[in-house]
Amino acid sequence: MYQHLIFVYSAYCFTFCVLLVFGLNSILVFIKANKNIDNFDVESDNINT
Amino acid sequence: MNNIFNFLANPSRFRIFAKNIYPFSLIIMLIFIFIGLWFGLFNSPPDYQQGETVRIMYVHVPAAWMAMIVYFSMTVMSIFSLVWRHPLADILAKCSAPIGAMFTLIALVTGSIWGKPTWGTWWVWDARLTSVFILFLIYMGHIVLVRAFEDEYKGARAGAILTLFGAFNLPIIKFSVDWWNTLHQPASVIKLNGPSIHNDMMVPLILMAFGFLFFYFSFLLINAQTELNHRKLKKLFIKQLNLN
Repeated sequence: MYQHLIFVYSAYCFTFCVLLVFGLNSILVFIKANKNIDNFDVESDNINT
Repeated sequence: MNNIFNFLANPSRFRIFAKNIYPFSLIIMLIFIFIGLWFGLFNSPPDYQQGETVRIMYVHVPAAWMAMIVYFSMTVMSIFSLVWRHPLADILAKCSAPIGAMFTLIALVTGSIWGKPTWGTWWVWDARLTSVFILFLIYMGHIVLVRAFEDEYKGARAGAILTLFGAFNLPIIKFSVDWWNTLHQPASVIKLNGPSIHNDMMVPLILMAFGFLFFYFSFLLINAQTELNHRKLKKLFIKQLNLN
């Protein structure tokens, strides 16, 4: 039975890697979007920057 | 209920609501997942037939439930979007699709990993596996379709129509194991005459399911805020262009 543990660990590793990558990516994009809003100045001429 | 939807229809109010709620949701998610992991890996018995491989159930089944719950919530949001033109429904449906696709992928891959030692094969084209694979393709189609239009409104409308068509797949997934002879086992938790698994296995399953549910809720709020910020930035650019 214990030789099957490799399947258990593979399933858990895959699941939590996917959750972690998705979660971190979402948080990073969220922080970046917040920064973009905070730094945006409507009056300035920064259309192409 | 209607008052809550009307209240949250305003993007600024929704942003304040999401900003206050998501940190707590993330903490609850982590608590559920860590306790669920401890129960699932160390404090639940092996199955008398499958042995240790039964532990895959604690990630596979909640992920499969979430794949369907997310799609069901997208269906409700699509109705809100098409019937009442609720602006937030478009954003929530758009942000739900990648999360739903991710849970479907987890269910498919962990199911395949579970299938090899249990059935002796990674994959079979039986009714349950095929219908879940179709759900994954519908999610991917929704993600691409919504983003294919330059006009966000048209993209949301096309996505909502696709979601409503795809909703026919949900009962097929649920009842596929009853309607056809499949290699996949029939339902053992959500069924009319009550669950048929032992409480020692039910506890980690429910804990992980709540963990995944709070994952969905937390990242839906985070991604919806990101989407609102992108839309606000787009409007600011247009305002700037008009000023210059």
